[in-house]
Amino acid sequence: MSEANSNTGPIIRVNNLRIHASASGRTLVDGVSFDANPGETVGLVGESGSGKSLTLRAIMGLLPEGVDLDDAKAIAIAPVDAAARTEGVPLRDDSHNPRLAMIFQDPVFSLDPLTGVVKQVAEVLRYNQRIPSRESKTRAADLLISLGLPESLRSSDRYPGQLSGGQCQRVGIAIALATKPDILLCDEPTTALDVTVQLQILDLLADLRQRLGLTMLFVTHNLGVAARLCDRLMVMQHGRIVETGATQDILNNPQQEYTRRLVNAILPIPGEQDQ
Amino acid sequence: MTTSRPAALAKWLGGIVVHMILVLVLVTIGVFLIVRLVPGDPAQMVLGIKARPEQIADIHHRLGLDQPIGKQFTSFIATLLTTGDTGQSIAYNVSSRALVLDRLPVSLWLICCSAILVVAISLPLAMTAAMHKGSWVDQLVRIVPTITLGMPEFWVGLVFVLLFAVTFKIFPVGGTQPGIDGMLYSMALPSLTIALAQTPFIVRSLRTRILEVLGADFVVTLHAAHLPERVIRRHVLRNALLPALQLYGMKISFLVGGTLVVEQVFGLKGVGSLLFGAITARDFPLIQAIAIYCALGVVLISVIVEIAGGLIDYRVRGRAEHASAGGMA
Repeated sequence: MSEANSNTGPIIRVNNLRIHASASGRTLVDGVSFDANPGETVGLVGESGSGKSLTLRAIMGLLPEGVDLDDAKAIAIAPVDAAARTEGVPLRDDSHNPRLAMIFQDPVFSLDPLTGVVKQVAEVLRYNQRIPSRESKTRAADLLISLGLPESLRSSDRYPGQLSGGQCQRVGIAIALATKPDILLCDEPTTALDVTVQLQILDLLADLRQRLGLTMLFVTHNLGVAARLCDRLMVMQHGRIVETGATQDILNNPQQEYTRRLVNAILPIPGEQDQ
Repeated sequence: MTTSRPAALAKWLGGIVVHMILVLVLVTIGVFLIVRLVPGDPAQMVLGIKARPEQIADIHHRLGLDQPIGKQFTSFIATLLTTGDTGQSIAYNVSSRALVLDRLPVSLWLICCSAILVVAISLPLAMTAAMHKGSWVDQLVRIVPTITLGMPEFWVGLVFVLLFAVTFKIFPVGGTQPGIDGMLYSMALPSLTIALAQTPFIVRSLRTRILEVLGADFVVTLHAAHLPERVIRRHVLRNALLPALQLYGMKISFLVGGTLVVEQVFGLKGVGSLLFGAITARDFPLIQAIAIYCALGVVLISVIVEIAGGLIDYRVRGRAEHASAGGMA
């Protein structure tokens, strides 16, 4: 990834991103371009196979095997100028190259099944923030409890298989936060969850964005989920962005037939009406 | 283990011990019955067809075969439990237990050295092959062990003797030397011979499993969390280890009875060569002793493997602990 010079402009700049399958050469993401400003939440929506998750993985630098990026320069992450941040309290007060973290679709399988969750978070704290081993365990338990996991984690660790999907996703979020990220990439983080838990996780993410001043890229196939969190939406189909605009504009006045279909397919999130 | 619950852990360990005792009881009954159920008269087999009736009666008396079967069994078990013995060896005319215990250290050395070498060779090979899947390193790791697999142990052993003992004079031709360093020195070639025969299975199983784990979702999380490569490798290995460990346990169990050929090639006075002599002489009390002590060895190895598996994967430790912790989910 190369660095842009500007401190006040977009933090993520994607310019003509192309991804193809190594074996067949088939184009999977075809010329995607967009910017994301510091503190902004941008949603990438579209049906399965539209290339939204690949776009996210490319930004993270973790493309799956058998998939290649045409030009690594298509993605530019700008250095963070702490003073230029307007929203929230930045995690770090120095100017630096931004850190990216990611949360995943399947919360249970995205955690090491044989390591306790406190230990997993502690390990990330230790290597990312250079916290001594003993202190990292306490800090990890603090972080997990602050994200809504039970107090009992302080006395005894739990394995991912012993937690619910929603609890595992909170652990996933804790791991992401333990890296002190500036940018949080969310790859369908609520898709595998129970509908009632989806809302809790979305509220947690909204709260974190507000408190930590995170920039977020949020991938989902569910426009209802995207509408709750995102400032701006980009609608993807067959590896291209077909429509882009402010969330409310897209929802109220979709221009493309494909977007209209997605809007019509929105399922209400249970409990949303009560808010 | 931070999640260990003492009661559940005790229950798990208790289960293993009960299992172990059950196996030993069954093996003992089996060993007792085999001598009584083999076609023909053991005394006749020992003495040959020209034996006189009084000689046969003497052997019957010495083996206790002239007693009713129930009494034979109770006295067999009683002797075994009180003295750990199965009777006087016919060929050597001393306690069978004493003979086995005398030979045991050499065999234990051989098995331990081989077991350590198997790990020392397999782990790095499997990890390197999996991390460089499809490269020449991977191909080499997959092909070379297959070649050694095609070579019988006695032949590999002889080639080693010829190469490293006769030609280059690095290691001794055979036998054992006193002291720990002497023992390690004497065990180098025989244990390498055994290890080379066992590693291909372990490398293959481990490499496949590592590749599976490398493709798992949680590895992406570890990368996304900016953890150093060596830490990620540790997570991967831990997750890949269990099936290989179980296979390893089985292979090492086979070694307990399977060091025979290698002990012969290297002139080691271990249990294997004792068994060879006992079978040739049809020395039933001694065969019984070796069978029971080997079974004990196999059971102990299984217990160690089971416990090691439980330390790696909490799910192996059983549902008891899982259930006691599952309440919060």
